[in-house]
Amino acid sequence: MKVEIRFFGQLIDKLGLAVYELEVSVLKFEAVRDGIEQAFPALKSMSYQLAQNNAIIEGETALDQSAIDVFPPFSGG
Amino acid sequence: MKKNSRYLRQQTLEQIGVEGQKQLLESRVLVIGVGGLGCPLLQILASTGVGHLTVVDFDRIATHNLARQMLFRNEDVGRYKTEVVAEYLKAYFPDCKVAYHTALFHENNAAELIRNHDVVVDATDDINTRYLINDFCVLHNKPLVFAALYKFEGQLTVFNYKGGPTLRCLYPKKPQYKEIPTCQQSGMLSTVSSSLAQFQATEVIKVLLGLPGVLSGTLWYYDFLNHRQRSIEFKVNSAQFENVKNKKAKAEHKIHISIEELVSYEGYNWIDLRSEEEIPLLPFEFIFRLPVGSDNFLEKLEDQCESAKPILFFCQSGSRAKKAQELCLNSGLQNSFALLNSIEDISTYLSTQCQ
Repeated sequence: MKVEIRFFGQLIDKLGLAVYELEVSVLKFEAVRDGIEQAFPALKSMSYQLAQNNAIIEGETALDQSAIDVFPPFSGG
Repeated sequence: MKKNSRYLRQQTLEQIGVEGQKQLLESRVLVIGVGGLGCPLLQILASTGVGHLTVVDFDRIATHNLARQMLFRNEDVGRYKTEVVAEYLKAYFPDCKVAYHTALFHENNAAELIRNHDVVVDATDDINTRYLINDFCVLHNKPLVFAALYKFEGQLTVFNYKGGPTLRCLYPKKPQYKEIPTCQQSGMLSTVSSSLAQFQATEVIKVLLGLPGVLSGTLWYYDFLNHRQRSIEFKVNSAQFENVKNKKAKAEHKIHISIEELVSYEGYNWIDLRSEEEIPLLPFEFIFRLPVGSDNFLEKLEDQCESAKPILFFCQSGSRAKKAQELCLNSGLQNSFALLNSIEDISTYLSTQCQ
């Protein structure tokens, strides 16, 4: 199934796109994270969080097919 | 109790009232960073009647600050931000007592600066400083009002509020400096930084007054370009609290550091201890070359260095840096660090940061 991945902040500039359609076999955190990192290997060494429906998702979070947001930390001020 | 006419409108709000105003006038807030966020935030907090503001920044006013940092005037260029902001706040807001520290916020002064404040505000522009502020707020149990931006996008939250989550709960992995472009590289618009600062100041007031709805455990995100927004919930990560507490001894009074721990490269007096013939040359005008063993080493060092910034010694591999740092310490010069990376790593770091 397909899940929409939306990038934020500097990730849009670093990865060169704001939205990506990810194909996953199961709707689980690890599958989504691994799928994104496989598509964008630069993310493997970076700090970011995945969120769905306005909540950070982790190991056991139950996912649905809503879009997943990828948030990096900001530091400008 | 009588209403204070200066604050009449806000005292009329049932959430503030005369009692709340009194509380604000008795409050002590530490604001770290006097830039695009810090300037408007300080103006708002002082005008609201926050009774004591302590301001920390190491930098001097540059012409390119004037478009965003609107309390500075043309004739202030070249002066320390802290001095000018303190003069301004005292002149305009007589109820506000202002203390300032013209210094980089770092391990060796963090505990002393944070102590005796009710709330800490992170208005800096450097990710390593942001983690450092977070850790010291955890160690000293202070609520931390955090705002940060990237181009047109802003993030706002309150860390460590009544046992709530912290920066390390949100982002356990501290990003490397190369992951986050500096504002110098990415650019910034005053409307974005000042709007975000208004929201940040409102959270400070809510925390001081114990009002409901403080952004604890929620990262508010706003994109000023397309008005996309999120309120993302995140939880306490106890292991992260423990890590910070266990590192306490190491974190305070640190003398040896690595590139990954440096706050903004502009925050240091860079001293190259290598002799003239050693390569690679680092062609940056802010680096002062003072080989180990030079005549009058300490006098030259003191002449050359800005007192607001710590001294950062480096050499080919770090061993001479350690010795120079020790020499300083033994001579009563407290504010110095030895950078232990190889010269190649230092060169790569500076090339990336100074683009």
